[in-house]
Amino acid sequence: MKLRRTLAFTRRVLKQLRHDKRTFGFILLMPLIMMVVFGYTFGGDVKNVSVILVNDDQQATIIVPGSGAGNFTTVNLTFGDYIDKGLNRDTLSIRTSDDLNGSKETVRTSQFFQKSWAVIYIPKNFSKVFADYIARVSQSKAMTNKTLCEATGYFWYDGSCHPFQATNADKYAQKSDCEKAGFKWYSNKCHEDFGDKAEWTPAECGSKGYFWYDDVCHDGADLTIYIDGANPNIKGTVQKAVMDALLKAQTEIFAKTPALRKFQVDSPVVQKDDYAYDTGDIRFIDAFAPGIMAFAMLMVTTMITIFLFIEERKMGTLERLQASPATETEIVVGYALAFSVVSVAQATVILLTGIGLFHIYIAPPVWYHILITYGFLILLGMGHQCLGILLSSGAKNELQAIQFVPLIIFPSILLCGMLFPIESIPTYLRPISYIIPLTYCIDAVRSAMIRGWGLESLCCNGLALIVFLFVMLLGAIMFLKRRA
Amino acid sequence: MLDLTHTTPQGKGKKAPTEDYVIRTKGLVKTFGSLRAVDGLDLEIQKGQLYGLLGPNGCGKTTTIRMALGLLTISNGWVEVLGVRMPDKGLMARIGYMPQETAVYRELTVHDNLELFGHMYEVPLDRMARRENELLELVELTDWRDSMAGNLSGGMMHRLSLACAMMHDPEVMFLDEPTVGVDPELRDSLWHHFQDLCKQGKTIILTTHYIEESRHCDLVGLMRDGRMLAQDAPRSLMQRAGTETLEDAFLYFTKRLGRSRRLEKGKARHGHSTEDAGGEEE
Repeated sequence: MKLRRTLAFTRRVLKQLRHDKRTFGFILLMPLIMMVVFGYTFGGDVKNVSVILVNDDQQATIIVPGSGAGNFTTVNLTFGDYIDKGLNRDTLSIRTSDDLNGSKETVRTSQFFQKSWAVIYIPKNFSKVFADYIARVSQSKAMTNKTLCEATGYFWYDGSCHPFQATNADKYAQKSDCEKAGFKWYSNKCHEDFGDKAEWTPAECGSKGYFWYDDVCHDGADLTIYIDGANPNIKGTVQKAVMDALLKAQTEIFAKTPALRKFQVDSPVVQKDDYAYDTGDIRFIDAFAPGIMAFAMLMVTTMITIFLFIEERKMGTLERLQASPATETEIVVGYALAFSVVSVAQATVILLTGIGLFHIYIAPPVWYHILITYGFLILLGMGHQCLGILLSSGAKNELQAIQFVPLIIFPSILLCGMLFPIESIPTYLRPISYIIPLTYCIDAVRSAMIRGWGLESLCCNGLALIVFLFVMLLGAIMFLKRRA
Repeated sequence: MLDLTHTTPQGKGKKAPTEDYVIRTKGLVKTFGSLRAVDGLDLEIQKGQLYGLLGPNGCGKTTTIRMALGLLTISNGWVEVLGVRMPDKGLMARIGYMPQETAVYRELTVHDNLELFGHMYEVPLDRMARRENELLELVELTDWRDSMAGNLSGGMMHRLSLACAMMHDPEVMFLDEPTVGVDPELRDSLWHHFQDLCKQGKTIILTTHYIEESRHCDLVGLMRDGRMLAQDAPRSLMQRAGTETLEDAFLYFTKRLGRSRRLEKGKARHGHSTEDAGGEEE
């Protein structure tokens, strides 16, 4: 292999791309546009989902024991209003209504600009159920001796006063254990089988931990989300927003009313996020930038190589090269070097856009991780350029070459983990993800830029790409050596 | 190895010792499926000869050249160029080739094209610019040096392709239809240049449609259906056929072969159709 010839081919490809203004623009603008479009509009988070809030909740009065024995404090609150306040106005675009059935109809039938995705329904007894519960818990807590406890209708066991009658069901956390012990498993909890709720008196209902309203014993007050589940992404977003609002409302209520605070039941189990890497603030765009870099490069390299080689064949220049001292290896490597330059140029555009517009995160030391990024992009680019040469044999002209897009490019986008995590792909399709070289490249670049991994941790990805490159390189050289 | 320094009487069809053949083929055959594009071709071209391969479309001229360059596999027989059995990549630096299609890079300038081929054949860097200017003058493209090749007319592109083939001043040149689409005036000067090169000891094998033009050649081979009809100096061919022009001579030899072929066919009803052969070859 002669360096002079190899570099001559590299220069020729670069010159040709530079002279072809539209292709040149495509190479640099395509990743930039994708980055801007995805960065601004997609952003990963769903925003401004139109929902209707039907808040029928009525104010309830909570009676809690005061500081001294026998004196009580009353607190008036409407839980529903706290939830209303707690809903994320960024994520949800909220319209209120009194008409539950009409709102449900709107969710079913609305379209386009008027689309409403969900009705969030807070029933009228919502605060009452909450108040009953708090009152029971706080009052029973205030009873310090058995007589008083039992006289007020609570239950004395295990050395203290309890709001509800004793049950052994609580200790079973697993469905199988629960059922084995003869209890009933529902609402993700083990319950004692008290029989038919409908036959209970109000006192029985309360003592068993249920809620009496509308003249019937209820499990609780249901905050209902009536949702158009056609878009799982939106469904998840709405559910999460309501969940967050509930938690926020509770926290706020306890914070605002000192009388309640001491009865706040803190769960001993707390969720805390502890990040393996310094990735707490990573946004969608940070994880997307590595993906788009690799993908833009793959798309440009594969397509342009196919086109260039179809042209070489059609114009007879390929045959002209074959009848010269230039070897197939020199041709392929010359091309590969040219596309390495293209990859680096593209990656630079994406990085600059990403840093400039979206302040994407790059783990320190920044230069080191950018170098790793370039390295992996070049490896993938070279491999795909050789693949392009091989594919060009399967296409007689540009029109046929375009048909490789759905064949090669689309599966790559969908299965490589750029937009959707590989974990969201059905298990039987995942092996395909792991034979797509793009997967390894995106993973490596993400790990370098976000997790801050160095080369030593990325050797498996590197190896996968090197194997791909060599197989493709040999394939391309052998293909060019073929003679009729 | 053959001794290139050994001087031989300049061409003109005289027999010479075999070592002096720059191009030799023996029983060369190329089949595409059932088609015999080249059918047992024997060719001997000496150093310093300007050899014209003539014949209608699909007669096997281009196939022969492509086999000699290693662009096509050889079905049977062999080709030797400069005493080396082809295909041989190592020999390519000494060979110039101008394909029939105008094989230049249309998105590069005239200069870039010449430079690329210069690098490809490793023309010494200090000689590149001079060589480029010489060739641009020869093919009359000096004014177009910085034009995009794709913007040139068909004939100009063809001349550029020729210049590219000559960039490394090769010992042997295979020129497939070098004068197609070139103005008569320039065509004439190109022929003179070819003759000059041959006088300097280069060997040129070219193909052409313009039968009359081949009077400039030292030797002419008339091909038809992958076979050699006749091979001689243009003047001798005309004498043998008893005609005034080469064109008539070509027709004379074609008819004679046609007759002998028909006889052959009548005797042994086998082989292939001689009349339909070719056409799909190029």
